[in-house]
Amino acid sequence: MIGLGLSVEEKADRVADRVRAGGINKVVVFCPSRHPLPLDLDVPTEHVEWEEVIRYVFFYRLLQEIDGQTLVVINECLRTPERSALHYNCLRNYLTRTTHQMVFSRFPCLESPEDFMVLVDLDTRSRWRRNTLDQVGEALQIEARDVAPGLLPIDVTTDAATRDLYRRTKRELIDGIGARDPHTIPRQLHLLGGKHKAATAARLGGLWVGRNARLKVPGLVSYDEAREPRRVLEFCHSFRDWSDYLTSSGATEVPALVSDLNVDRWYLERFQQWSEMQRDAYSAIRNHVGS
Amino acid sequence: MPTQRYGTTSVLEAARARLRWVFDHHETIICSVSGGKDSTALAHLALAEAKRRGRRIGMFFLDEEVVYQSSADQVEYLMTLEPEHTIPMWLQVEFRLTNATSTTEGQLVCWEAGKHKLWMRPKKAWSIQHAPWDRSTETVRDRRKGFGFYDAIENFERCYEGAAFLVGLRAAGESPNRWRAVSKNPVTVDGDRIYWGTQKGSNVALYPLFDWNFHDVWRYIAESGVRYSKIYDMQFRKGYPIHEMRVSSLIHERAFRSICDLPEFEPRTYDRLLKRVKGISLAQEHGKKDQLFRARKLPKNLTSWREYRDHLLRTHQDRERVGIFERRFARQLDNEYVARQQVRQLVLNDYENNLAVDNAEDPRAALVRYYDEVL
Repeated sequence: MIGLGLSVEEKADRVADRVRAGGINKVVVFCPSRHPLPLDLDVPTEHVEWEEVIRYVFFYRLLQEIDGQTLVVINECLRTPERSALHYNCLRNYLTRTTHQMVFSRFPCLESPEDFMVLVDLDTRSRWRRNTLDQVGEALQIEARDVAPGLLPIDVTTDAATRDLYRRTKRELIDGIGARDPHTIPRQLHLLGGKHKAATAARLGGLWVGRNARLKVPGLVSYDEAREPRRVLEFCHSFRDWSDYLTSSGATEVPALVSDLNVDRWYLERFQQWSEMQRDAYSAIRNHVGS
Repeated sequence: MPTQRYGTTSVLEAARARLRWVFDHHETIICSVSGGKDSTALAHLALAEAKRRGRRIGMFFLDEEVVYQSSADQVEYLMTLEPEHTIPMWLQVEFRLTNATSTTEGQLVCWEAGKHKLWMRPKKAWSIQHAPWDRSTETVRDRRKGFGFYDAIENFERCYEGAAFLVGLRAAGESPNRWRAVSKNPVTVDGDRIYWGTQKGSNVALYPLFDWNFHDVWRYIAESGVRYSKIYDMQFRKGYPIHEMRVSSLIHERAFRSICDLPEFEPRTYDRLLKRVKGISLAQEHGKKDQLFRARKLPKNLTSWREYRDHLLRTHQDRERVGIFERRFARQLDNEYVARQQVRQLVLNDYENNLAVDNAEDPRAALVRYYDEVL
């Protein structure tokens, strides 16, 4: 089965129910270290981190140890949209050893709606690899709880000097892009409004999340460290970091500081569109699966 | 452990059936071995069939000299496993290998005459130490590059007529491109059309394991009890991912990263290699870093890949090779994306163009334009 939008406790309950139903004498959980899934079960349980999935030293041991009475739990492993990534291939190999699997993900997709097929591949051992969701949906068992966080912008006004600096920096970054990754352009421009946003954050108080702790704002931590709902001082750039933060914090409404610089508006719209994409994906899944 | 199946037949049974067909239709059968897991499995299967029929097969190894000692040991093990059914063909002759680790010594002449004190190991007493083909009709693919690895193989193959060369190439499933390359020129032998082989003059190259995957090979090795190269165990313990577990030549442009862990895996081989080949110490230190060999980061004092490429072309020690690179680059686009790949070829001394350049517009350009408009 595929479980979408479930909390850690709900996931643990689903696994416990499955073990109680019988026929399972071992549970193997694959999950990134950032998203642990603590389980209290009567059968032996092993946790394998995402990075270890492809390591030889795990690969052959697990292929031998996972058998028809092993429940494989794949938790929050939608880490890349690349459907043929080595990590996914290794997971599918583990899954060939058993018919008992549970796939959990907070969100159905990462960068595009098609990413959901990664989860389908895992749940079906790629049996439907060449098909689309509308062709295979009926065959899937999905428990979905819609989670599409909304963004609540808090406006921040910058001064003329900052806006001038923004224009000059943008030109310099674009003209001197050289060998650098183009994504460094929005990443670096987004930092320019930091001083004004830090002042606003300090005035408002509370818990904040940002790219790092350079702004010395009380209550500010980086995206890697955030484990509870916080207000956004700076946006991260990658969707995976965003998804990781929302998953580990469980946030559903995210207040965010947005300055009058174009890049901030661009980031706000980008993540609003991301939430919209999640809503559409849930809707498409419900239409095809009918759960 | 899982294995692939065709209906009721496993790939192992299918490979055995293919080998039976090979023995039925060919008098001369030569199995190519490298010391890796695939050729080990193939050689073991072929020897079993030879033994069953009371026949002998050739066991061919083109010794590149700069290989793991474990690979050489593995080849010797295979060649002596069934001595009554094996004709050892351990070829230790001079040929040129690309040396990706040094720009001053772009090629290594394996088994170079007069340098026997520096050789990685002494030649085998029973190896083929002089070219068995007619030197007057010897062919060379590219005179500028000299007599290389593939030239040695092709000339050796031409010593035979109507022979079947067995190769442990795996193509299906893992690499559609490789499967296309294998199957595009099918072989017809005695009316049978064979899609797992290619015609090579009057000989055929056959790939009985073409549809095996990684796990099929290891499963066969585990179940048959055949010995395998110990380098795999070391790579396993070191935590190598599956796609990086290789035991091939240590210095060519796709394998030089093996040198990084060589002091740990085979310290004596590393000591010999340091004396034998230039650039080894540098490759050992920098082989896995983004700068230098991987060409992912520009040196600090340069601002573009084109500038870096031109600098390398100007200062390259081997002026003959520079001509090869310049002619090739002149046919390619002049942008940063292509230039970075050209730098990688120059740094790794890839004059043979093995690390093909994607000669295309910079995929980043559209993204930069987009950011210019929206930000």
